Amino acid sequence: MNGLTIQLAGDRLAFNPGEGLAGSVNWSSEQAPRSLELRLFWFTRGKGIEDVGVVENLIFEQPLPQETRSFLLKLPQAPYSCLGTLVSVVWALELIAYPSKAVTRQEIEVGPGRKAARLRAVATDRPSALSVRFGK
Amino acid sequence: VLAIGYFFLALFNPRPRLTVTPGTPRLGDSVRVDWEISGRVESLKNFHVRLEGKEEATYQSGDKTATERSAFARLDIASSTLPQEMRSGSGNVIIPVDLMHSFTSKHNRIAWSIRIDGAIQWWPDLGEEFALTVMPAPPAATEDL
Repeated sequence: MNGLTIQLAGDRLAFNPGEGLAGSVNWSSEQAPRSLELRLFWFTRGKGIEDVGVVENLIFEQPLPQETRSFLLKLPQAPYSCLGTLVSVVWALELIAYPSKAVTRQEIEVGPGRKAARLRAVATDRPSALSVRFGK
Repeated sequence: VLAIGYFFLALFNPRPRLTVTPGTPRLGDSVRVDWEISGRVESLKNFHVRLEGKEEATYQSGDKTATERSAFARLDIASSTLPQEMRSGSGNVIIPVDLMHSFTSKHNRIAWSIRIDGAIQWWPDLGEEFALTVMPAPPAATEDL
């Protein structure tokens, strides 16, 4: 397998939850692969043991040695991408060729405003929108 | 033995009861917290009600697994030093829309909770945590971010 690429429409790498994810995949090799699989998934990164959740996968059957095919996937409403001190949740697309298991990965951000939630450790109280009433 | 004694004494601490509305809030929601404390409220020197968001990561350390926690949000809802104010009351807090909703996978977690803390002289402090599930913001609320 000489080349595997994932190209997202408009070269976008950031999306709102629930948004459609359109693009194309391309491969090139001397012999046609048996099949290819495109996975949409999230995984955790950070101090903890990695967890993975595959949301959707597309199988490209009867591929030619060199070919480009388009795809359209839909992102779920959750989880958001997040960047934390201990835990990050990262979304990605992965294209796998079989039987060689050659792979390429494209990470994306998924969150409100097309941004990952950034979590910073707090040591002290932070101000908030607050209203208090004591007694019944 | 000391730890057993400590936890035995803590059994006689004031006991808080909370009502959270809405029960399963979304990011960006205003949350109302009503509390009632029964028992020796007058023994509390101070009292704090907070909304807290924490990251939790479970990792392998040799033959054992360990879990590390780090708070990313700690929002004051109420605090007092007066027994009549500690006994019952209510407060509101807005969950910031730009933070992370509750998330649980096998070894990693984003957890939200309401914490009630109070210091008691010569006695184990009051420290109770009530888990709260925070959902993602509704799609319309996130379009303008």
